[in-house]
Parts: sequence; C-alpha cells; structure tokens
Amino acid sequence: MNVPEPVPERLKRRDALIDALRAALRTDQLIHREEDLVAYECDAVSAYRQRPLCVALPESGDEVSAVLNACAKLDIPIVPWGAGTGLSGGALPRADGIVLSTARMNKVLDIDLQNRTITVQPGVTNKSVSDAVAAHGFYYAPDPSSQIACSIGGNIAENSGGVHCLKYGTTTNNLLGLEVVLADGQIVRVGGKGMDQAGCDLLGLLTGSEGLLAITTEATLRILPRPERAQALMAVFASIEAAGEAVAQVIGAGMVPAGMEIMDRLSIEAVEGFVGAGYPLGVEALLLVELDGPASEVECHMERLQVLLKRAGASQIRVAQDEQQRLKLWAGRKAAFPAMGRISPDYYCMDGTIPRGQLPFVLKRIGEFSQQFGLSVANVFHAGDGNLHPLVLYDSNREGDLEQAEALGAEILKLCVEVGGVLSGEHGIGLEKRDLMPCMFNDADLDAQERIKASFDPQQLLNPGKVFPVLRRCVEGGAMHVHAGAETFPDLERF
Amino acid sequence: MSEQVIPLDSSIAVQARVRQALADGEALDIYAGATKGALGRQVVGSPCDVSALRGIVSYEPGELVLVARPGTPLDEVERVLESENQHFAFEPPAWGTGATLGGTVACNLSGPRRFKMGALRDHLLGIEIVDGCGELVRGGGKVVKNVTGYDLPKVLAGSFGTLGVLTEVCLKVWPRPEREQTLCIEGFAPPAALDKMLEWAGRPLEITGLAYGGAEGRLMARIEGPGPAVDRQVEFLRAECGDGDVLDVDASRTFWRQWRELEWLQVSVGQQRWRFSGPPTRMVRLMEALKAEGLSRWGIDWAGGLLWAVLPVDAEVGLVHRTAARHQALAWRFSAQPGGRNEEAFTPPNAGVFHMNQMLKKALDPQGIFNPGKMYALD
Repeated sequence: MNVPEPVPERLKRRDALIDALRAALRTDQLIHREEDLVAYECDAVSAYRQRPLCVALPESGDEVSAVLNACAKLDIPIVPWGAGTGLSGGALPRADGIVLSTARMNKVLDIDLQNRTITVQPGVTNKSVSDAVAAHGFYYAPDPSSQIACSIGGNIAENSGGVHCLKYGTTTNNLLGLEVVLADGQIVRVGGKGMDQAGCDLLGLLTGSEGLLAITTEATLRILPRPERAQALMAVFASIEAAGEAVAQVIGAGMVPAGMEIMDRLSIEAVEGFVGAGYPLGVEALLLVELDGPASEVECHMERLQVLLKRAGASQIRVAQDEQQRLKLWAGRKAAFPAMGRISPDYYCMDGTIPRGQLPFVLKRIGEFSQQFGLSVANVFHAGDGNLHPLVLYDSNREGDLEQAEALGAEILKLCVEVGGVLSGEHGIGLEKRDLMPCMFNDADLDAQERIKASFDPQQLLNPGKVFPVLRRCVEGGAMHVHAGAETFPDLERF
Repeated sequence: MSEQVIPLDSSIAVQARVRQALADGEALDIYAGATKGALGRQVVGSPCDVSALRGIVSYEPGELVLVARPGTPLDEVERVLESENQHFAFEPPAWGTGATLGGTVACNLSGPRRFKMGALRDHLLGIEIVDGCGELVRGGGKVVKNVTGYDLPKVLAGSFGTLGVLTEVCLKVWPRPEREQTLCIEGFAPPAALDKMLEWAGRPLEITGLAYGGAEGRLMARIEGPGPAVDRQVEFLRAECGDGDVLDVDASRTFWRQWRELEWLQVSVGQQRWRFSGPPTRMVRLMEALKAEGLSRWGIDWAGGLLWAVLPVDAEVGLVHRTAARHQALAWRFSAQPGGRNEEAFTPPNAGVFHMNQMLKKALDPQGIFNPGKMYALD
C-alpha cells in the first residue's frame, strides 16, 4: 500500500495557503512548523505516515467554512481529523493537503432529557457524551473500544459501532441531526430532534462517508435510559465452532444479548497472561454473553441462557455475580489486541463481517491460510453480528514477514466477501482497504458511489484518495498493522 | 392509462425499461402494489410496474437477514417471518391490500415501535437498484454489520422512488417478543398524556408502543418481552397510575394493527389526512395550533414524536407547513385521490438540505427520469 502521491504544484502553494488560513483563523489555530506537525503524521494505522502542509484548528462552523473556502481557492485537499484513533488510515494526512482538526470544537451544546437528545460539537469524545448525561440515568449507546479518546465527529465519519451494536445499532442508528459544512463552504443543518428528516436520508448518507462528503460541525444524538440491569457470563466450549453454534441458538431462542464475544485458544492464553481476567487455560473457545434490560427480563433470560448453553455443550459456565466481576470478564476481552503485543512483535488486525453460519468454514480456511503462509492467526470476534477480528501475528524485522502477513490478510478479507460478507464491519475502508473495494463492488456499483462524491465535492478536495480504489482490481492489503506493541494509542482498549 | 402495462419481472427487465426511458427521454412513474398513491406529489410519467418482480430470494433466520424482490407483498413476507417466530421490528403499516416490500422501503414506513427499535431505514442492510444511468447497482451488504462504502440503502429508503428503481432489498429481521400486553389508561388531558409518554419513554422499560388519542383521552402503552418480565412491568406501570385496563396478547396485537393501519383516522368527504413528525415535546402545542386550521380527529404516536391529524381539504396547505415548521416538525399531506394532484405534499426542507437532495438526485438520476416531482417541485 502506498500513501497518496502529492501534486507538486500544490506543495508550491504552501505559503499562499498559510497566508489565506491566517486570514481566516487566529495564529494559535494554525500549526505549520515541521516539528509540530509530527503529531499529525498518522492515525492509528501507524504503518502509513505522511506530514500535512499544516493543521487548522477551527472553532466553529463559520471557521470551518472559511478554511474550506481558502482551500477551495488554492485547490488544496482537506483531511478531516477527529482524534486520530481510526483503524483504516482514513485520517492519514496528505503531503499536499491540510489536516482540519475538530479538537477545539469540544463543547456539549444542549442536553434535552425530555426529547432524549444531546447536541455536541464534533470534537467531544464519545465517552464524554455518556458522561454528560450519566447523572440523569441516560447514556449514548455506540461504544467503540477507543471511546475515551475517539471523537463524535470521527464516529459519524466512520459510523462507529462497539460491542453493543447488535442490540443498539451503530452511530447511524443513534444520530438525529447534524450541522455540516460542504466542500463549497456552505453550512447546512440536516435533521433535528425529531425522528424524520426532510427529503432523502442525508444523515444516512453522511454517516460512514469517511470525511469525503462534508465536515461535521455539530451533532444531535439520541440518548437512551441506562438499562436497569446488565449481567454477563462466560461459557467454555470444546471448539470455536461449538461456541459459534451456541450463539446461533441464543438468537434462535429469541434473545438479543447486548453483547456476544468469542475468543479462541491463542487469544485466551495471550489475554490471561496479560491481564489475568480469570479465564480458564487450556480451553479451545470462550463465549462471553451480556444481557441487559429491565431486571425482570434479564433474570428471566439469564436462566434460559444458562440452560441453553449447557445443552449446546458448554463445559463450564461462570456468571458474574456483581459489577466488579462483570467488568473483569470484559477486561480480558478488551485486552485482546494489546495482549497480542506480548506474544508477537507485530500483528495485523482484520475486520471483515460474515454470515454467522459460515463461521466454521471461514475458521477452517483461516487455519489453512495460517499454515500456508507460516503465520499464526488469533481469533477474536463480535459473534452476535459475525464481525471477525482475526489477528495475524508476524515480525516485521524478519524478511518478507510483513508481505506475507498482508497477503494472508487480503486472503481473509476476500474470503469474507466470497461467503457473502463484507470487507469492513466497523473499522472503515480508509486508505488501507481502498484497493480491495473491487472485490465487493463492481464498476457500476463504484461508479454510482463516486458520482455521489463528485456531485458533493466536484473539486475532489475532501479526503481524496480514501475509500475508492485508484485501480479497480482486487489487490493485496487491507488491515491494521501494529509493530512491537507500538500502537499510536497504546493505552486505548481495542476490541 | 388505457394501454396495457406489462409488469416487469426481473432486474434485467427493469434495466431494459430504464434504458429505453433514457433513450426516449421519458419519465417513469414507479409502483408495485399501488397502495401508497396518497403520499407525495403527483407524478407524470410512463407507468413502471414492478409488481411481478416478486419473491423471497433468501431468508436465513439464524442470520437475522431476509432478501426479497421489491414486488413481494408485505403480508406474504410477514407470514414467512412469523413462521420462524421473527418479524420486522420497525412494524411497517400496509395502508391497503397488496402493499409491497418495495413501496414500504421507498416510503421508509415505520410503525409504533419506531421510537424504540428504529425506522425501516435502520433495518435496511442492502439494496440493488437500476440507477438513472441504466446500470444495475448494489449498495450495502447482506450482513447486519457493515461499513463498506456509502450507505446507499439508507439513501434509497424514504426517497419515494426518486433515485432509482429497487430490484432487490435486504432487511434485518428480529426475534418476535415472546409476549406483549398493552396498558390502557383513560382520562388524560393532552398535556398530561404527553408528559406521561415523555417520562415513560425515558425509563429503562421495554415499552415498545406509546400512543394517545380518542375522545376518552386514552393512553396506550405496550410492553414486550418474556412473559414474567412483561407481567412485572405492566403491574409496575399500572400501580403508578393507580388504574388501567390490560389488553392481553390478542387484543393488544389487534389494537396496534388497527392503530398503525390508521383505521381510527377515517376521513369524510372534504377532509384530509396529515402526518406530522418532530420533537416529542412540541407535539401537543402543534396539535393546539392546528385547531386554527380546522383540526378534527387526531392522535399521537411514537411516544410523542408523531402526530396524526385530519384537516379540511381546503386548509391552507402552505400555512399548515409553516405551522409545522414553527414547531420543528415536518408534515406530510395525504392526497385526496391516490395519485392525484398534491402540491406541497411535504414540508419543504431548508435551502441547504434541498441543495444536497439535488446533488444526490444529480448523481443517481442525472436525467431526472424517476418519479420526477414526487417529493418537491423540480426534484
């Protein structure tokens, strides 16, 4: 994978650009010294790095509009940047463009408990949205693992999910209104506090558009009453297939757990050595299930769930007896990514989704790929919605290992598409999976999407070079690389 | 239309029809069950009947995913889902015999469970359309979690056929709750009823229907879930109100079916149905304001977020839309005759949103052949 090539003429306009931005912003809202730009070289996909021309830190919709106008005049690309925690290189800067950071737009603007909404600026972190309404018994449902750092603007761009999204949906299902700035600088309000929008579903179009269509400057989100009870259990299975079958039975029995996660032997052992979550060792598969809702419903389902899991072959079931135990069960799962850093110098995280019924076949094939490429693969996944996170373990200091890992990763993603799934369940396409898009979409499909892009951004200045393939054939690559545990955000949970 | 229209029965046939329309520079009036003719503005175009493009393509209960062609009757799909103890959680109304999946998707129709479980658009995972370039285009996917590419399914849901002709839809399906009961409490004045709805919707309870209406001032609250949990929540709410009748499963189901099908919102000659959607806290004030326009029958759904109303046919349409807009609401006016003239059917969006809709239209239907003018003049 190559970073986007800069257009030389644009590099020559750097001084003119900085002058134009100085006219639009205060001095402290502009970062342009080389040493200060280092912090903006890459997002959480640190394998790709590039320094932008400068970084703009607007503080309002009007200032964003002014920045976009200045860039449009000078034909300079804009890479929107929330917290830089994205896992697909979607916020990777361009050497011939600016980074537009929403970090200074970090205020909660309105809390409306009666209408169950909160309106925030895009730089507010995901977690602080829930924190802002927690005292009133509410929360914001999407909970990506990076929630203490990731921003709402970034969540909207990526349509972020989290472990609870089978039951509560992703960002797009929890967004009611937006203020955005279009490529031509126009400020538009879409939706509001009601449940419908005027005209076509622009909120649906903009959410998950990875910064290619507009820049969010304000968002109205739906908040939910915090469930009366949340209870989790852990079940041990003799094989990952058996755990997968148990998940199908849970759903078949009419239960929709708040979260269902499966981990394989390699992951369990890595995690246990890392955080000591109390997982049993020497077992093939662990299933974590969390139920939430009214206490009466959780009690009722918890009983049935245990009977069902035993019947499905669980050799051991442990129900968290209190909140502390529940959090401990989750702590292990949430430490799965960093734990890999202890057992392997590097890992490469994939994010395909498959129809759950294909799980045994896909795992068998992943096992074969692993043998074929001579690299271990640990498996953790959001079992409820079939979103896999195979972690390919490799050593970038070993000649050819990285290329092998990338090739293996591409095989896994192609396999996901072949069995009826998709390239990305939640990390986005960004730069890194861009060239795999033709595996899933044909020319006509991509043409339609690119016509939307061209219609909204005729100059192709909003995050160009992301999402859409440069060459339309299915090529290698497409996942998240981490070297020596050196994630860009090593302290963030990743699951 | 005197000429015989042959219903199109495959995506290839739809594609051929669209290409011919493009070549001839003709507009298309797209329909299948023709039960949604009262929605939107009048379309002048050649008929494009997709009712023969029907049938379930695949249904995997364990995956919670159903793929079907747009002309498939809604009731047929619902029967199949019920046989697996599943349903569409967004509870779409049919509004007539012969309603199809495609029309339901095109209008993004969502029933009483909307405030709790989301709208149709939240359950639409994938689509195939013939776009305005005559190409067969796929968007979204067939799994419940997907962020690959733009979310075209959402864009098509509620586009009233103005962006493409649906040839296949993939929807998320959901387990049917094991049990339902509806608590029915009479004697609420509108402001008190709205307060109660806002309060209950903000509680961690499995309330999946919350509606108010009728001369008796009746508040209806549906609880769903496993049997014992439903019993306990209904008892809890009843104790809080001191009274209330309980409709058990069958009666509850019947009530909500009649409610979402608007059987209670009959119109006489000279009257018209309207639908208003907006912030729940504004709905009673909006209702009061509409009295000046001749409001007769009305009811509130979606825990306050939706107001159904009957107004005189000669109510000043622009004024009604402005009244709605003053309360941050959006109005739909149902036309007097299906497919008839219905200027200003929808509250116009702000200039920026209108512009964005035009950009979308230009991208997917550059020659403007699909249901021209259906939503707004010149769309």
